[in-house]
Amino acid sequence: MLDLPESELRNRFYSLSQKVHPDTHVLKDSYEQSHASQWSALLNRAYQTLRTPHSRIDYLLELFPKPAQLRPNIPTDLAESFFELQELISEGDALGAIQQFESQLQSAQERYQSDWQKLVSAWKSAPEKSALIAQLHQLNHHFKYLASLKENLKKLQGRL
Amino acid sequence: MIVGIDLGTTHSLVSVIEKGRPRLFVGEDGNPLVSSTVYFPDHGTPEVGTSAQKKRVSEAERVVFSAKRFMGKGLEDIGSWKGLLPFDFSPSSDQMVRFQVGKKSYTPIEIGSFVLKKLKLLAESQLGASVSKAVITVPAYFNDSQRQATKFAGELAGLEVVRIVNEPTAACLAYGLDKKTQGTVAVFDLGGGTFDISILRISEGVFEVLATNGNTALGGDDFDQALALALRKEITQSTSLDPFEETTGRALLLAECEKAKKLLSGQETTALEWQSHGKVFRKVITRQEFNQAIEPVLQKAIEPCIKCLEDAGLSASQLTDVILVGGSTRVPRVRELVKDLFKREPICSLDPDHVVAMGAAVQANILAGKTQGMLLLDVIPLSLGIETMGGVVSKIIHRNSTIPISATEHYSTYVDGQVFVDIHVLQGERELAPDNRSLARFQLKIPPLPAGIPKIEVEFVVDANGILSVRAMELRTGQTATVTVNPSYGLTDQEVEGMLMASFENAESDFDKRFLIEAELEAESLIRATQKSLSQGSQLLQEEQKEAIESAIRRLQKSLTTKNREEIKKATEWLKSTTEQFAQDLLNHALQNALNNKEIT
Repeated sequence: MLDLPESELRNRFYSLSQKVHPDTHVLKDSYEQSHASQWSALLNRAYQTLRTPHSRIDYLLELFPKPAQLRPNIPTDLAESFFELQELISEGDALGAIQQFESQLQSAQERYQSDWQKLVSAWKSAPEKSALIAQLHQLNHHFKYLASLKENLKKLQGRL
Repeated sequence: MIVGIDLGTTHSLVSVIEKGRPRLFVGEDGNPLVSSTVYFPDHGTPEVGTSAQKKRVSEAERVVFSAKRFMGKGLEDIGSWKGLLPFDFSPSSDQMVRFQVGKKSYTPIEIGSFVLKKLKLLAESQLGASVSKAVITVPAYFNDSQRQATKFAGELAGLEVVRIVNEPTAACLAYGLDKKTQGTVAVFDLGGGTFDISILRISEGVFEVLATNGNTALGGDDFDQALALALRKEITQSTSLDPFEETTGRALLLAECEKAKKLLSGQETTALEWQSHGKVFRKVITRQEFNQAIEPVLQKAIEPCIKCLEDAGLSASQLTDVILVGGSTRVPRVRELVKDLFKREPICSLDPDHVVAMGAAVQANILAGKTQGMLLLDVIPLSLGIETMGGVVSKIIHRNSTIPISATEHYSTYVDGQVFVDIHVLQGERELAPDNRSLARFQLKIPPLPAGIPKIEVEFVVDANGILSVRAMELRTGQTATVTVNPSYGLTDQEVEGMLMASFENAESDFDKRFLIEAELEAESLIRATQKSLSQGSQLLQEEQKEAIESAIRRLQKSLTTKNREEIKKATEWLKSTTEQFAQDLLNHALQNALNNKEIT
């Protein structure tokens, strides 16, 4: 479910749409038409849910809520570097530090990406998915943290 | 027989499919472009089309045009337009826009219905058969009110509107008829009064809209206005008359500017003449001067294109084609802009004025069950949601969702003993309710229960026309309330003109406000819950525990007055940790009580 071939999913969506969309049932009676509308709405929602890796993860996280004892950690190295960077900027020594931080973000991005690939293949073969849920939450948290750091960096650069 | 109708700001067309090809019906002058101008004679029925258009200047006070701009809009929306258009608006009590013609006044819906009636007659006389059903196109970026208003205009004209279709999508269907157009296509649709950009994927007869964006108050009319405003000063200097002072002067200048605009698409210079009270103003206008005048208007089209590509998850280079739709894309500067934006030569092998009506006819044929193997999957342009506590919008259906679609969300109450909830339905992208378009408001009766206990289910259903209906139900009692969102006046300026753009600009402060509201709500409900527990279970507490809790409550109450989210968060956490043991004791105590009271059989 984490790894779906996009074109296959889309073709399936198109062929199911040809069957259930209300436009292909216009000559039927109103009962069948309203039925078609409902099925079509359901199909559209399902496609929306499956369409992107991002939407699939959101759905999975909804299906498997965060275990109560799980406290996703934040990547402390990135957090510390960002604080240092802010200090350097306030002291007026920014340019080199920003570049260094950017490359740090880049390598974090690559690291999470490879963690993600590992998780995807583990997910495929694991008979019991629940064991991987904690990892999924953790990784999702890392990606979100990374995105917010990038956003903050952009704001800092904008201010300079 | 179902006809396809393009109800345009300046021109309207009607078409059907005959032998697999679109046929356009022509007006009295032999042209399929029927002017959307309505002339009201002293007696008798209103005239629509060329004859009405010819009276735009000579009898300006009896003519209404560009009514589509006001479809589904309210009086507060037209502030900036008053005084620029050559007709009068009448005050009205219901906040609807009304055009004053002599002693009578007409709503944009009625004006639209006169145009639709005319198109119906043209089709009937040329078909030799009666026409009772139609597919009508609307700008993709029309909101729910504007769609409802258009549908209503159709009904007033005696037409059953079997479908409302988005204009750029319809255009794409017309291009798809020859099966040569495949892949990922952007449709750049700049009409007389509205602008849409849509991106579609076409594959095996399925036309899937990936994303849409636009501006419902941007079009060729604005080019005329811009040129007229650019000339205003010069005219006043040379004739000592303000051309905008009187209805007739306004109408003449706008007509002259429109003429110049059209001529400048084919030539580099043109002469313009304006006269009033015996004074004459003459000027040669170059294409460059015209381009300069319209540039600020044109710039408004850029942002929607960028957002649309972003929403579709594509870059310009990934597109197969860019299609030009709408008469205003004939302006050379517009083509230049499209070429720059999408990095390719745009195509317009079908007449940009005809193509929307042709596409409407294609969709009409599909809905008549006569075309097989073609299917249109369209989207809603703007997100739909409801207002929750603190004025925050909870989005239920997101923009660019494929329609038909339905979604359900669950909510509860916030105050003990509440006997009804107010369901406020909104459309737009902003975080806070007042910044979005209000579509409807209704109340659901609920049984008086403690806060958080009632389970309220809200269901949104958007049909294939993109029109919304809402149902709310209290699940514990089965109490239901349903509303199909009623046609109402439309967005205020601030609401429509780039609601989406504004939402991006304001995203940051919106989020801050939202987080603050959420923190406040959490704090308030925690205080209430703790106070309730204290009154029920204080016997379980030592005196110093009780004091600690009460002091934590006071700290949280104080933090609420600061409006500082961090402070509130900290104080909330503090109260939570102070009451942790107490909550555990209360729970144990309750369980113990329950066990003691249970009889074992």
